[in-house]
Amino acid sequence: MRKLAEKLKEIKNKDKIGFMGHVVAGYPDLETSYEAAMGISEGGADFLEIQFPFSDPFADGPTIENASVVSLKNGIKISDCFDLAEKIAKNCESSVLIMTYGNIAFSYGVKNFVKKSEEIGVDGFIIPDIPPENDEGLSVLCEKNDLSMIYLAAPGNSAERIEYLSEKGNGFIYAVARTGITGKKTEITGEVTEWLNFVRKNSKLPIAVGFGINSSNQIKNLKPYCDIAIAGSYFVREITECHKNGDDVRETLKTKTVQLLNVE
Amino acid sequence: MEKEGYYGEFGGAYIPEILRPNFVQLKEEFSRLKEDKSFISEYHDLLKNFVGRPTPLMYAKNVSELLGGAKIFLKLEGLANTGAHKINNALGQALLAKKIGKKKIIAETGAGQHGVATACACAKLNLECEVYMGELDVKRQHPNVFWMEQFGAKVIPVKNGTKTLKDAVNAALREWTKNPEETYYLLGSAVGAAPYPEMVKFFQSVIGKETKEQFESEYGKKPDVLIACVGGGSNSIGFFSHYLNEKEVRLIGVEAGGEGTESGRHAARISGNGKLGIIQGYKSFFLQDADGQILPTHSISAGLDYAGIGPELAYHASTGRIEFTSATDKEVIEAFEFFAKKEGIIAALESSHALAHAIKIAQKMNPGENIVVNVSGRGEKDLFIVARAVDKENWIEFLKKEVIS
Ligand SMILES: Cc1ncc(COP(=O)(O)O)c(C=O)c1O
Repeated sequence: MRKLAEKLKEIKNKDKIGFMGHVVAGYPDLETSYEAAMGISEGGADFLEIQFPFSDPFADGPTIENASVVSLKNGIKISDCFDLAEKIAKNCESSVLIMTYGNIAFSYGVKNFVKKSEEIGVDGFIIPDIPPENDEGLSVLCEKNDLSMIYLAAPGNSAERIEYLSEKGNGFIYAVARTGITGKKTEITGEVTEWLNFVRKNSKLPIAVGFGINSSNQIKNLKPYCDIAIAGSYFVREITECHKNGDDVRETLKTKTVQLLNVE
Repeated sequence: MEKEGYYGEFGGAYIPEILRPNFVQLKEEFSRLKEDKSFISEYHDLLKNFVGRPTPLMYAKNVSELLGGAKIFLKLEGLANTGAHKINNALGQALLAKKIGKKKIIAETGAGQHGVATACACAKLNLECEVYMGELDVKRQHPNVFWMEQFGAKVIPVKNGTKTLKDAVNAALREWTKNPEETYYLLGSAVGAAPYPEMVKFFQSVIGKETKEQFESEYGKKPDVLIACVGGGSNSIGFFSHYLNEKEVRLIGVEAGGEGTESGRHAARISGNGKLGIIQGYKSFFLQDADGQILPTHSISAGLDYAGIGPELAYHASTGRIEFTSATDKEVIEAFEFFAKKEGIIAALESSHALAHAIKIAQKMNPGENIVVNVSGRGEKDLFIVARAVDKENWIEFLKKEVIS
């Protein structure tokens, strides 16, 4: 059984809220992104989202966009990203997912992209600009290779759409918590909880919630409404800070993650 | 049957779910309004009385005789209000936005031509307008920023990413997701996710319709060749629209050859080395590296300086219906000067790509044959670039004096 399925089972059995952290491969450099990922994992992340940088990340906020630009300026190649993902998947407890954009997989060849990912121990993909109806064959390939294609659901989606996304996807559904893009503070308002209840009602998969999470309080408040909390930009900012100050990235990110997950 | 929004394997809508509701609404409203008589008549009225259509189709007699080959005709889109074809689309979409109750228009712009056209359309239609423009472009293209502001638009410098056109697109899309009920995203070329390519073509096809009527009523036959420059592809697809099914008419798109397609400094996707990709919402040919990252492009004309090409053009390139070629910066300046001196036409540098190719092929054709070139814009906007290229010393002297006074 892949780690992803194990983690989902564990979350269910322990009645806890799961957690997914995020790093941009090669930001601010390969070594630091590795250490950061390990720190986040050791701090208790069930899942790790490794973002393969793309030159036009139009579904991301400025924080992640800028991190992607830095990584690419450093000359990071997709082969480096795969090496990094492999090393992380091998050395940590978390289930590792690749987050990227359609053209990265398309350019690599979707078949090879899926095969390579399977071989190195990656569990699935989050590709925000690939909707299920134009998926370039990814869903079927994922199914064949026992990988998960994670689709995003966003406010404004109809009940039928959410059901469809959850049927096409696998593992969990990634619900965007706010109209907007990654990186801004999300208040857990009635609007958000209403939206999550709506997703819950129509999704056949567990629900992960992302975009804008940066405090343990938010995660605590989200617990009744979802299965997994996701922090992305938060970690990019912490990594930037840590790197600037010359702190031990792995230790610091571990501590930060432990603090975020301190929800009792 | 072809999948909706696709042209062969090209096009589609590769968009994040968060944008989907916006696109669903757009698709519905566009299908409805394009059949709506009162909408169309209001649009046509604006084209006539505000844009100044129809634009003339001019026989370039002096040039044709000098070259001694085919007759060259020029469709003068530069005589439209704001000086380029961009207004046809900006006005059409702005009117659509107004009809569906949007209050605010957002747009991206690179060099600023589309931004100026959008700002102008919004001024006319009483809509709030915000134009996203890469910080580098804001610095390089101050005159267009000035004109947008004169039209009452707010120009927002984009400081993320590479600070150029693609980052402006990202910023505009982000803004759109924040306030989808009130805002309308007005895309400037026949690119992007469906239904934009179809919609932009719809509003630009007025160029092709007029050209056909004007040419055929005057000369009683079809032209032999149509030539247009190709950035994202809006002027070319609009211009070619009424001849796509008439196979005996050759259609030629001219891309930015920059410093030569071998140099790596160009924007020739089809005639150069573009690769099939899925970027910014659509599948088409893009200049990209082996990993699928978008490559920087170069052209003397800002409007052709873009890594992707509209999906319908990519499709017609794959079937061979539209031929593609490129013209270098140097050829473009020569064509620009030639038409200015011999015909009294100051063409935009974008359009001068098409003129450069017309010069090349006219000489090999005979006087009984006819070429129509779409002069997509006029060249006054390019003063700073052309003056620097052809009269550097005097120009710099002038700029210095301006600064001192
Ligand atoms: C005068 C002119 N021609 C052509 C273009 C290229 O765009 P498109 O290929 O969409 O017509 C531009 C773009 O700014 C332009 O300003």
